[in-house]
Amino acid sequence: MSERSAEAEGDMAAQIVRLQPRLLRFAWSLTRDRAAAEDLAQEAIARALASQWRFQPGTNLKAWLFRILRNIHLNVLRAAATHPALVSIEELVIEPAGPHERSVNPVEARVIERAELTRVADAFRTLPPIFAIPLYLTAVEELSYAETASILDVPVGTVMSRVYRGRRLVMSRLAGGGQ
Amino acid sequence: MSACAPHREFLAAVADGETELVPAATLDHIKDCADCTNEVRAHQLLTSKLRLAAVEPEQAPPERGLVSLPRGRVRLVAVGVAVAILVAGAGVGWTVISHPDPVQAAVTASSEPLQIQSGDASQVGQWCLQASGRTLPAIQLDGMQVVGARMDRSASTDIVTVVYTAPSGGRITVSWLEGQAPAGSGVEDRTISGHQLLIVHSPVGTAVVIGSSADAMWQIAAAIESTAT
Repeated sequence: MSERSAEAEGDMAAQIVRLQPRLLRFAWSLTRDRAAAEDLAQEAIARALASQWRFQPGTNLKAWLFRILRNIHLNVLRAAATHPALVSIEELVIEPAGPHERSVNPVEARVIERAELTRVADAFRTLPPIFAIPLYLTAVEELSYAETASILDVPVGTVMSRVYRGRRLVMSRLAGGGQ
Repeated sequence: MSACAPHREFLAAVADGETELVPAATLDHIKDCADCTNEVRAHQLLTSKLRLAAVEPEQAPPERGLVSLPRGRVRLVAVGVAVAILVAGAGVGWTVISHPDPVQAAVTASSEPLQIQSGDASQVGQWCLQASGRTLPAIQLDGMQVVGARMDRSASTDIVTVVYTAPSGGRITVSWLEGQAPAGSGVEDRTISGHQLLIVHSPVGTAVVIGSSADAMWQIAAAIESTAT
């Protein structure tokens, strides 16, 4: 290995390790179990370090790592003969009339403006994972819809729809209309 | 079904700048629809707040190992509410603006030349500190690059304007109004002289945020609004 490529690998390894807290948070959002999240994040880092050459320079390293982590998680679920988060009927009918059937009214807009961050975070945490995870990846991790779709292995239109519905649910709950 | 109904599910994508996923008909509709425009803004504001709250789907475990701030995070010492004292000999002069309305004066100041130009947030903060003699609140502004600052006076109000470049490349100015007593917290959305602006009332003071990127403006407004004294 040349000196330059060794140096580049060292840089990338450092970048991967630096993203460990982000991986841990994402793993937590998938598993909701501290120990499992730590194992998942550690395994994702180990695999990423071992296969750095697969990463395409110029693409998003964080999205690549999240995808590795998500794949490991799916494999763990398969090995345990469980199914990855199926959409429950409860989640599908979570908005019987649906706040998305109408526009955000001025009162709701004002509530969002005035909402304290802790209230926003609390409202977010009540979301079902099917909406929370795409919203987390796009809003907090600032990944594109395409990157999020790739990580979650769903069509980009699904990401768009879930992000929209997730945000509308948070708005509705901030305005006191949530469950 | 209202005229907006078929377009609603695309509004989040518009708010996130994912417009290549949005039908042209929806983009056309939004241009002429106040309700949809408001909803896009609401999505942008909520995103800013979610980002600031750094939410996770549930309470995450404490982070271990290396922790680093996201690239581009600027911890800028911004000028607070009661910027009152001009320090003689500091080499800084207040420029008088004739508008009696401090918000209008802030709009004018936003397009005036900078009195200090620097990409170093601490240097700009130090300049403002020397001029105002105030202990300044720290505001976390993700991805914003400070460009410089200027100081103006309008009637009885002193105005300290800090200029940033948003990650999208747009210019954002934050003008702090001295003498504007904090009236709770909240954000007013106004248009003055063709400029869309946000007036942010927070415990640390009143600020006027002006810029070309609505997303970046709301991000800054949310950061200011949530800053504690």
